[in-house]
Amino acid sequence: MALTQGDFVGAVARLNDLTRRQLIKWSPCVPTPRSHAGVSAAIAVEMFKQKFSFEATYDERILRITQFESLINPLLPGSYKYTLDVRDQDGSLTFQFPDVEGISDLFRSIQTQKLDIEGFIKKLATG
Amino acid sequence: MLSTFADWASVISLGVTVVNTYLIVRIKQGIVLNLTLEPILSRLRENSENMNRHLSYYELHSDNFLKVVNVCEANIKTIRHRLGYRRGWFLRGVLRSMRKYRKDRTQPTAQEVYSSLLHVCQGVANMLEERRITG
Repeated sequence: MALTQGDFVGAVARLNDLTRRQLIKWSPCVPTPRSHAGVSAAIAVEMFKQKFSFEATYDERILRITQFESLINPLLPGSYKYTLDVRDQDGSLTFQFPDVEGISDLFRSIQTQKLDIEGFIKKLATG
Repeated sequence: MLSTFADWASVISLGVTVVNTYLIVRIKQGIVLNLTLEPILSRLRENSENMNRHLSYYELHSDNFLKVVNVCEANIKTIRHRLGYRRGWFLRGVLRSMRKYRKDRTQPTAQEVYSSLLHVCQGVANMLEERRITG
């Protein structure tokens, strides 16, 4: 595979764009089981605990994003880590994205999508 | 005519002084870059986070998005100034997308700015990691 880091950054930015435009719908799921986590996540779980996970199906693939919180000092910057991976139909990990820029932004966009502020305001306005 | 030993010694000492000055300036620039790269990366990440937030409701927040673009452009130019034009070549994409955005303030061009900024953040993060490894 001749994928570059730039390809991954571009892919994450595109996923984020599709999420903002509601073309990908994410739903909360059970955080990634430790035994199924990839190498970098396996290292991360030593100092980080899994907090939230969201899952979405796109192009017949299951995408999962997980937020990890630092066990040492959750108030410091960088106390959250994120993993983005692709899973098969059984939920087994098949590919984990490298730790590239934009995954944390994608997670925030998913949280915004789940809050559905637009729907909430419209609901309030129409009474 | 440089015939005596003293004349040659003067020329050599001038050369050594020039080389030393150049090395001191280079080392000073390296120190400044090492100390400021991480804070600049934090600021760029903050810019990308804000852009992402404004992109979620772009029609409402397009003015705020432009404000973030202006701040971000200043940060990018600071990095280019510190890296020099040759090493800062990878910054041209985001600056071009910002110019394009000012002419056409739509969501797709805003998305392009955000996307290019992520590439810049990744480039700076890689540079920082290399510097940590090589010292």
